[in-house]
Amino acid sequence: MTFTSLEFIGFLPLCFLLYWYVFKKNAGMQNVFLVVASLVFYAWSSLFFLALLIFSAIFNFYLGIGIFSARNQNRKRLFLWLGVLINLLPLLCFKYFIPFFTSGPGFFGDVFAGGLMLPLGISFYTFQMLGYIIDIYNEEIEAEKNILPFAVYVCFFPKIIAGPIEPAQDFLPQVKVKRVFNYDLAVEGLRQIIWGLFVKIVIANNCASLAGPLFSNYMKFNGSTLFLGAFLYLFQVYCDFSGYSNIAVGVSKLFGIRLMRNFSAPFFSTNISEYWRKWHISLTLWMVKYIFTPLSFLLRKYKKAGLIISILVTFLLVGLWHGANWTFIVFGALHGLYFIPLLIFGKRRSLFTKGESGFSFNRILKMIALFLIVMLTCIFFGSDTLSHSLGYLEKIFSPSIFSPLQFSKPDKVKAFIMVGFICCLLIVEWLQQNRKYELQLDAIKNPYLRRSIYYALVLAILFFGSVNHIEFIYAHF
Amino acid sequence: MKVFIKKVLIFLLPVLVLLAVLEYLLRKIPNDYSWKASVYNKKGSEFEILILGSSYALCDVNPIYFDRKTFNGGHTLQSLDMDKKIFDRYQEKLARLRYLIIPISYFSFLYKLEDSPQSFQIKNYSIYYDVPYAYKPGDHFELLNFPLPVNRARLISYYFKHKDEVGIDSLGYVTANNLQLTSDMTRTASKALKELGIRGNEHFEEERAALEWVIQKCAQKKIDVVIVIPPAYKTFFFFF
Repeated sequence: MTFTSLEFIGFLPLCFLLYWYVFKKNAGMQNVFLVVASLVFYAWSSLFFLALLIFSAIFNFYLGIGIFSARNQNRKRLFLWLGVLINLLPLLCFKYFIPFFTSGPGFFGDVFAGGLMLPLGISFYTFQMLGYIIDIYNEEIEAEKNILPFAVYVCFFPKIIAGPIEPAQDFLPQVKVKRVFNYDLAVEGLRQIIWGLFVKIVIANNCASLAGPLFSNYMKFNGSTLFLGAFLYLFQVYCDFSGYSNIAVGVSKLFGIRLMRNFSAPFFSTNISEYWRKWHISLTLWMVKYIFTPLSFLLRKYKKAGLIISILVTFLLVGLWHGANWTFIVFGALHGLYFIPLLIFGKRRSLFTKGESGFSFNRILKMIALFLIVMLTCIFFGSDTLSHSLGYLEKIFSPSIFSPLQFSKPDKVKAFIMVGFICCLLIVEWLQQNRKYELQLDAIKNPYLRRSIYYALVLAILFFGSVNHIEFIYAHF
Repeated sequence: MKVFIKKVLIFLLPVLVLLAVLEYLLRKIPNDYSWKASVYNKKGSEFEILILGSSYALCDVNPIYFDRKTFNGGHTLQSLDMDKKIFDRYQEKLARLRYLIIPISYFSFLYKLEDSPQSFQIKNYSIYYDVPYAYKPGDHFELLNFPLPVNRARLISYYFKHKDEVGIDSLGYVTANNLQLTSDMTRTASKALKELGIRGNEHFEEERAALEWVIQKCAQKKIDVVIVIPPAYKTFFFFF
């Protein structure tokens, strides 16, 4: 079951009504319901790996208590490393080792051929669990003593498939108390769901149908077509994942739980550091907290060289997090390399300072330059092999970049419409970049105008949406 | 809470009305299934010979060459279980029926429409033939079986360009312009077999039982069942 499936259209209202009408009595009942609903949601898509999710929840619950109540530091450290090892083991096995060793037939080969390649959401819930036990070890939080709120934290269905990777200190306090229906929060949630569906079904899915054939047969196309393909692919990835995140946050708000924002208009960034603070925010924060900060502290005596090594290692891991493929590693490494000028010529705090604001020629130039770099790097993300990515790039940087587009007439029309929708998306994000979410239309006082915007989005979904690519890209990570 | 639900419903109401209108408009586009269903209802009592089956029936058995009143009720990938349901649905109307022709090929018992890549055709049987077949909510709606742009194109094609989706003649036989013939038999056979979505013998018993049921029913009604084995090129056998 995905957020754009027919089943979910039935599942969500049913859960909403049961949650607020039948299980509203106290936090315990609400949590029991959320755990059951989340397990049903997960089992619907990945019954085979449900046991792994349940094991992860139970194991980390008791491990957290173990670390918290350990009498001495050595015991604490032992529990921590045991936890890190056992949490990483399934991730390493399913994501890296088994795919490598099971290309042939056999039990695992059959399982993989049947589409059960990876336990759904394993990268997300593993990182979430690692963050939880490390925070307990560092005495930033106390271990949760009640398994119900903890189970909701692990399994909560809006975020189980592709995050956000939620810190325990933000999530757990919300589910330890009884949730009371909040009208404004629910309305916010619905707005985010509409926006998420719009960007996923209209922009991401249509971009996928245009960019997909270009990536799989890049040799047949000229540079200009492939350049447009890379542009569309970047927006496919962005709209797919930001759309998913918006729907996840929106659905969660319907149940009275706030999740963190995962994207915040990243294409208006003027440097790579700002970009990563606006793109997949929950992963960036996780990586900064648990990889970059400890590593840069460890290498602090090497000053800028230590920082550069820390950044490169962090981004290599970001790449590797996406999968066991050289293309992802190069994708991560390149993003790490883009930080080097910032580290050499800027101050350390430039990594964390707020980006430029306002509308200036200088800012626009920087934005476009960064966008092009990110777009070309994204080719590695979308390719199956390194030679594929390099071949694609080689064609872009050839004289054929000045040739006319090689799209068929219907695809040309479709691409033109998509570029139009992408412009609309960018305008909305520009206007709303300082707000909590894209469709926060408080400035529009006229309710009819607000409703017209919602209906326009619904009509766009109905008449321009494509349900050919219902899967979310990040559901595979 | 109640205010929220009320406002959501009020917001959704025009959307649901729009969806209902679109569904209605899509169903009004004449197609092979709606056309044949209306023929069964209006003229079913006149047929003396009925041809059921898949594209082998639809494209190979032309009713024009029969000297009795004949109708071709075949459809692409119409499996034997579906033939049974159609016969069951319309048997009361087929008062004069004397012969039932069913083409059987060596793969007829091995595939089932609902497990084929064209399983979306099931909605045509539940919507137009009104056979009790649909097992998924999506099988009851035109809107849910094609991507939205396809439905948009279908609406524009019929309501603005006045092109319907009927590709058969008055006797139910496929019109030539719908046939996609190619001289490359190897590729055609391979493609055709993929379209059947055969996965071993899993449907054998069910499809055989469906045929036996039809034969028994016909025997009770003194209708002769004629099994036709259509010729097949060797590549079909090779890929099979």
